[in-house]
Amino acid sequence: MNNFNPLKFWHSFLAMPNANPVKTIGVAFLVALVCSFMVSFTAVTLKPLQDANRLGESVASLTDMLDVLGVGIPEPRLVELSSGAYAKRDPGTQVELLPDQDLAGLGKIETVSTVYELSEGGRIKLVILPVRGAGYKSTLKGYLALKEDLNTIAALTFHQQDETPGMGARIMEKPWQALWAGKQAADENGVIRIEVVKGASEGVHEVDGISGATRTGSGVGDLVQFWLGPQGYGPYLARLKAEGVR
Amino acid sequence: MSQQNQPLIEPIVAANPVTLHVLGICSALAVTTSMSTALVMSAALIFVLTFSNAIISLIRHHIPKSIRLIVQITIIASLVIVVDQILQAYLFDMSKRLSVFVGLIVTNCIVLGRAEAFAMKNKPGSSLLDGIGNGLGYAWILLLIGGVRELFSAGTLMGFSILPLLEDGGWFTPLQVMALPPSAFFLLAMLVWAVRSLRPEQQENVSTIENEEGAP
Amino acid sequence: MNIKWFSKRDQLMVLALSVPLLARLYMDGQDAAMHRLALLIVIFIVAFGWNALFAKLMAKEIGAGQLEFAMLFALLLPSPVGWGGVVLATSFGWVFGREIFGGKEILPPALIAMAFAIFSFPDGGFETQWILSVRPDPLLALACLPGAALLLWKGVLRWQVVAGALLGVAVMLVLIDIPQSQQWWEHYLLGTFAIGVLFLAANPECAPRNKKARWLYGGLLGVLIISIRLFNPDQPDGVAFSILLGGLFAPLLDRALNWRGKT
Repeated sequence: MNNFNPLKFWHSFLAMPNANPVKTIGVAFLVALVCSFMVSFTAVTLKPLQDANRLGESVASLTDMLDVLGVGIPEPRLVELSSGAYAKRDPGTQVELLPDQDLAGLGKIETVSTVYELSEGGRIKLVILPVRGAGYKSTLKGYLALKEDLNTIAALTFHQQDETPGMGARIMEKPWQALWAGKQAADENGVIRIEVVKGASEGVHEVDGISGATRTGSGVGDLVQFWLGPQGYGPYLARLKAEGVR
Repeated sequence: MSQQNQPLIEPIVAANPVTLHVLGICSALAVTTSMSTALVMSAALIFVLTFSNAIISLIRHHIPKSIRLIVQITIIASLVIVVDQILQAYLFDMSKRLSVFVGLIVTNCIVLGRAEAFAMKNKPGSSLLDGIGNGLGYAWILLLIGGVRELFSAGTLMGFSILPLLEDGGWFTPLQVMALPPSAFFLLAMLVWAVRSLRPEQQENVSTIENEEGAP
Repeated sequence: MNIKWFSKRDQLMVLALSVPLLARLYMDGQDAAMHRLALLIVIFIVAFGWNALFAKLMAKEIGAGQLEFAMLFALLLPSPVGWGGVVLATSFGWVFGREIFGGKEILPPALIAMAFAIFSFPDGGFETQWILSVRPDPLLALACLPGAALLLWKGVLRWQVVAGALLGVAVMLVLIDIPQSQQWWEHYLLGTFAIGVLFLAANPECAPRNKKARWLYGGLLGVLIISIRLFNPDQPDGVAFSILLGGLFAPLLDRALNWRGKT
């Protein structure tokens, strides 16, 4: 094997009949090798750009919301959902939801979530909560902003959905999202009542649905209820209220 | 038409992959809600089709028959992943709107069909032209359907307002049905109808259809 | 150019449909009734225009059917609706429901027009709201009966389909919990149920040829209607879609019941 010539070896490999198993396996191997190299090269080189895009999308939606509300830069805080206490770090763990708790159709949710607080003179002025849930045929992701009483909705925006264009997808439109501003999440007894209704809405707990998109609308109502409820940010909001009283 | 350019010109109308062979229909239904999505999807398909045809044609003498399809699909799938990654990096909004349909180019019958029917039997140069030609044949149909759907469902073309909407003070009420996939089906049917009326040689022989139906 | 205004079946259908149409006009009140009549004329003219155009292209005589089509579509239309939408929907229904099949009605063109209109203008026509009637209309349902009796007597009503549909609805209502707010019998009087089942589904052109298949087809319609009404809050009527979907099964049911070669 002293005079091993790679070029000659390559030529003799190509000269083999295609039916030869060595050639078959060899071609399969080479094609797979070249292709996997090509794929991993693009994936690795482009990953930073893609990550930045994904982050930029929710940040853009958040900045939009802040612009509309005309408020400053809020402070991100990690919150443990079950206790409502602030967490030092995000363990990245998830818990399963029982079917009767799972109003938003999520299956499981994270144990620690990032919320955004805007305070003035030590008092909370605004909290922004990331929310998500099942619509008619896709997962809806958005932000819900609550005013200082932690009950009045300041704004609701969505930045991700794949609903029917012209129908459910209209939850992305500003005029519909604006309907949420000023609505009350819970009644005097603390029961969360906010919902999307078909036809004309009445009172502070109801929001007009989009015609032709009843399912998407009730999905939005359900996900807001879920995230304000005991499985979502309920304990956190309760803690803030208790501290506010003190 | 010169012999050399035939693979480029012929698939545009005479042997159009969509209207004559009725291939690539699922993506024609899914990504034609607007002209811009149709444009990006067409560009992605032209890229994949051209390169898969050229690469497969280059190595066609060394592809063993027993693993022929696997090799072709591996090459096509890799090209599709590359396109998808590039879109996610540089045209993020667009890649979100196209969702899974760029990935589904792998299963687009035009790509594998051209690889099997043309690239395996022809030289790289003409295979490349065949890829571009078929891609263009697919593209103009997508753009036409996308244009009609966008115009009638939103009053815009490439995002520019053409028909002023009623809700913005204009006169045009959008046709919601145009935003739904079935409308693409009807538009495509009308297009096939029109092409085949103008070129009767593309019509299927009625007697063969009836014979097939009569067969047990 | 030859024009055939009426076929024999056409005359019967027009006669049968005139009673429910009058009832509908009476219930509309004066303004809405005038509007509906005007729409009927527009639908007739548009349908005739397409009919004549295709007759010229194909070099054949102008066939019948547009008056029956116009009456059915005008009856199905909720009140009030805009002009532009009706013209578009009429064109679509006539061309795609009839002309592309060479004049054969595989599915009722009036329903294809209706489905197009429902999908195109879910929240308002060109100028008015497009809301389906969700109240029970005993008068309208009653007005359909004389016409149905006439058709039955002349042998152009497939009664097995009607019986099947009535049974299908009943079975579905028994199997699924009936909503408290609604009396069970209201489903038979609601929206376009009577018109749809008697004049569209039981029509010889759309119903299966085989007698057993007709029962099954009718039952399928009943099941579909209740399913759509109860499970899709956006479609409180559901009759048009059920007949369109069910109609696609008619040839299959015929074949399935005939497959050993018996007739």
